[in-house]
Amino acid sequence: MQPSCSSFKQQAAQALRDPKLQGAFGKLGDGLQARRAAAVGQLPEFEALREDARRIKRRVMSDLDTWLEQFEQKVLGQGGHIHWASTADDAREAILAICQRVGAKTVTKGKSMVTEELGLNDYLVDQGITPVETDLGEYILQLRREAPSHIVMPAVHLAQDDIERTFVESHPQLPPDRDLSTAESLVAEARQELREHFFKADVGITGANFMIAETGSTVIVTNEGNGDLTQTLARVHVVVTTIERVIPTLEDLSTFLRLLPRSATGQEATAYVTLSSGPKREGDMHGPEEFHVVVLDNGRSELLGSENQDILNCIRCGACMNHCPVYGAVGGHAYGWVYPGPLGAALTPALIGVEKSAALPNASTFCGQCVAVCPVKIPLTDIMRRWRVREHGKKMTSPLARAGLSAWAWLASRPALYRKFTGLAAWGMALCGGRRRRLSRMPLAGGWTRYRDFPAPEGETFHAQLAQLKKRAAKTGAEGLRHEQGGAHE
Amino acid sequence: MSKGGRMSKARERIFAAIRRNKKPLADAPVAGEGGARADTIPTHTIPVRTQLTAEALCAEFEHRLSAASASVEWVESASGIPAAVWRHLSDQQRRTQCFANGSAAELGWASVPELDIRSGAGDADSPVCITSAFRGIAETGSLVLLSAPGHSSASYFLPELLIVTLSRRDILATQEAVWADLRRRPEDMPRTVTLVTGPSRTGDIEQKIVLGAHGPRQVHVLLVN
Amino acid sequence: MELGGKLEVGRSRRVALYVTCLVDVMRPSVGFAAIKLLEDAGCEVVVPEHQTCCGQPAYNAGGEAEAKALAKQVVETFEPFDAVVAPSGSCAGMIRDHYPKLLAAEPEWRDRATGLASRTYELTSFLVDVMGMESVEADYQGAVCYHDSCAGLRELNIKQQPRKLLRSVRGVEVREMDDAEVCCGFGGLFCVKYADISNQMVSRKMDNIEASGADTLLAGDLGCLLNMAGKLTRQGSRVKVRHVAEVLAGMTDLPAIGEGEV
Ligand code: SF4
Repeated sequence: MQPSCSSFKQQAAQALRDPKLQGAFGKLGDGLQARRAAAVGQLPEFEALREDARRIKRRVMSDLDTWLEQFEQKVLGQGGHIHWASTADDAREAILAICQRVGAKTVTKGKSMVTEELGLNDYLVDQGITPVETDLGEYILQLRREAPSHIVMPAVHLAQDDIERTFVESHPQLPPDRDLSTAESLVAEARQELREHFFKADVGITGANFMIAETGSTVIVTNEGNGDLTQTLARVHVVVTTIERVIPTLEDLSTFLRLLPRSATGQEATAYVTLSSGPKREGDMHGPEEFHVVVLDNGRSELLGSENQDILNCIRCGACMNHCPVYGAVGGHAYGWVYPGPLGAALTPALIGVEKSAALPNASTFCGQCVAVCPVKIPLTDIMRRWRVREHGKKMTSPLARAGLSAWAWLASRPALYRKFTGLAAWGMALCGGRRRRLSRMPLAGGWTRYRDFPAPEGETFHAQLAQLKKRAAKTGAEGLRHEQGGAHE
Repeated sequence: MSKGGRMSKARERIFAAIRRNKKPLADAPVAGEGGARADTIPTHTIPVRTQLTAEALCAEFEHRLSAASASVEWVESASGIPAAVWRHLSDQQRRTQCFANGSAAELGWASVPELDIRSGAGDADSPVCITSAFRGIAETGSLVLLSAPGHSSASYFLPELLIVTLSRRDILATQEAVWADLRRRPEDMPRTVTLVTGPSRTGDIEQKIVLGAHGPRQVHVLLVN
Repeated sequence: MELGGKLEVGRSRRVALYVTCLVDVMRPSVGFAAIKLLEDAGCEVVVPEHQTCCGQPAYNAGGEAEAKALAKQVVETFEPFDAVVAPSGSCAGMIRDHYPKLLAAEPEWRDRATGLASRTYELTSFLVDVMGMESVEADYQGAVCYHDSCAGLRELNIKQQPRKLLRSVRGVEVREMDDAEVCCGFGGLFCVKYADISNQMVSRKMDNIEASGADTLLAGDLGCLLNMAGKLTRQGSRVKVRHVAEVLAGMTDLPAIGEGEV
């Protein structure tokens, strides 16, 4: 997928002007946020579990190679295959090679953000293979040729009538006057349409929420059941995942399963959690004849040991975006690449370079709500801030901004001069404010005054007023002004 | 370069980068953490609500099942299952073929001759499927379904109505207890282990919850005393 | 959270007031209100002369070197006091939460910063959590709603403290608005750099403020207050905006923030 993160501002402005998008994302508060709050409120151990999860992840990262090797051994021992992919190219080629070897015409797909990272669908189409997205949201987006705007709810930006129209246009074989006015009828139609694809598919591709080193299993955590149909009914099952998804044991899985659904959708448990270990066995009625795991790095190993390592702990629950007021204002597409919201702002610069994505870590007020809800306690704002440091260090910010910043720091380290400057500024702004005591326009702050007034200051600074009070008190010999203004030492 | 050669190159590159970059745990070791081996199981938090008496366990399981929009019914013994299935089916479902697998296939279906039960390599796409669960988890109201000879793992996801039988003594408190039971079995890890918690669902259309996305619209559990 | 011990009866405490840049320039009366409240609580208040900016604007803009220099200046200036109190969750949070991280690579400075961090407080949290203040002596006629500024709420756990004191003000009715904990869109330079997004955020805030039926909006951070006041006056709203310290100190003779004669 070609990133367009550097156009974040324009994309955001466009989203802000779109009333439909505003309506869709405005619903996050009553929807996903409220559901999460209720589910978390019912589990007193939620905080302890977050800490457990963070520790499990830290332990894994400190020995990632060991866990991956153990996973690999187990997969091979169960008759599965493993394909290591250093880059997106490696991964695409590995997947294509499997598809070509088995003569695949159609490929069903469960929801997988990693395959979005690979731009896999377009790639397969170019090679003459038809991918069919089977997750309802992803299916709708494939029909509309759109990218997901959320990592858990890919079509959250769409309104029901958009989907209705898409189905009418995309399913011309069905009676045009059929009733599609309810969400239920749309879901039923998609179910009907996709059913035969599951049986026809040569290859089924899914992601993995986790890989378990102990058992060599890949795990999907889902609600619709399409992921399971994809991996059970196709002749060949290909799991596409990334190196940081490995966890040691089944018990560790349980810890994450107590956190993930609550954080993602406010469920105690999702409808399905499936652990897959290897291909079909003797006596099995269903199951794939081949089981492949493609494990992608794509820049992640370089995060390991870095100050931004913790972003590798992400379990892709989406809570950070559901609770982000910036994401809630502009939606997912504005971010311009696979991972939107605070997760994207922290992760994207590592994967595609800060040069192409500096706008993302800057587009945050650092309100910290994402950190407060992240089930694995990733310090998302600290990571975003470090990308800003990187950007500043590489002199990628505007010269004016850099000069302003140094001038301010220079001034602030000279208190006497600083007092003069602030005194003048306060006086000047108060003067401009006049009797309205506010400014409607201000140099260098057009962004502010385009939308709001700038309240004028009182006139004299605090420090100036305090100095005068002191002087007056000294003259009259008055007692009571104990707050001396003086050096730190008496 | 051959594909295989390229892949082992990629493997080398990834592992070299990991070994170069990884940092040992800076924190003091987490309590109960043995070593960096999968067979040492760290202590971890288990919700207090799972500490239940045998009686309460069943009640909690039922409660969570219904919270997950599944329905439950008790039957006195396995021989009562066919009649219970018949009672649960709608008129329309009674007219269709039902697919039974696992130990559910071996029940005395002849006691309800009106039922059209297929087993073995029957049609996994039937609108009604009856299967047996390995365990139940009271904490979440989840059914643990395994792939095994005689089980069609696809049939857990294909029908409109999934009926699952479970014996009372197989209701456990937590996932952890299920993992322990799985390890105790002489066999390997099953090819698939699926935790099913209620019917299939989606929230992809305006965050509205709709049941029966791709999988069963209804899950009915028959608990055998 | 560790907040230090309660004040021993009869023992005064030397508290340094960190006025903050915004209060110094934009709203000095908040500084005087803070002094009054601290003195009422039995503290001896000192205003160190060398104080300027805590470095947060530079820190958040990626100017790490500049931020470090200013952080060291603040550590030096405020180190000698029993406690540092700021009428701002954002500036107090910068010292408490971020200085130790910012100076982590220089052990001596890190330790000094950690020491200072453990003695630094936002005003209402200091009054309630450290000084054990239960009520204030003040009057204010009106229905107020309190916006939880992000840093105060999530870095310093400030939620009940200002509300507790506000409820003791004669004539005040405390109303809760929806989404009081959601960011107002200020975010320092964010509101200028991403003006469109910031505007949408503050607009949603306006709806919640108006819907609460309160006639006065309060908060503990001047940045947020200026942002919301500017939006309210631009929209012609009648809601008045003040720093919570003004109301708690009974110093509300001055016009509200952005409130003009015409
Ligand atoms: S960063 Fe945290 S909150 Fe965001 S998706 Fe990842 S795990 Fe979830």
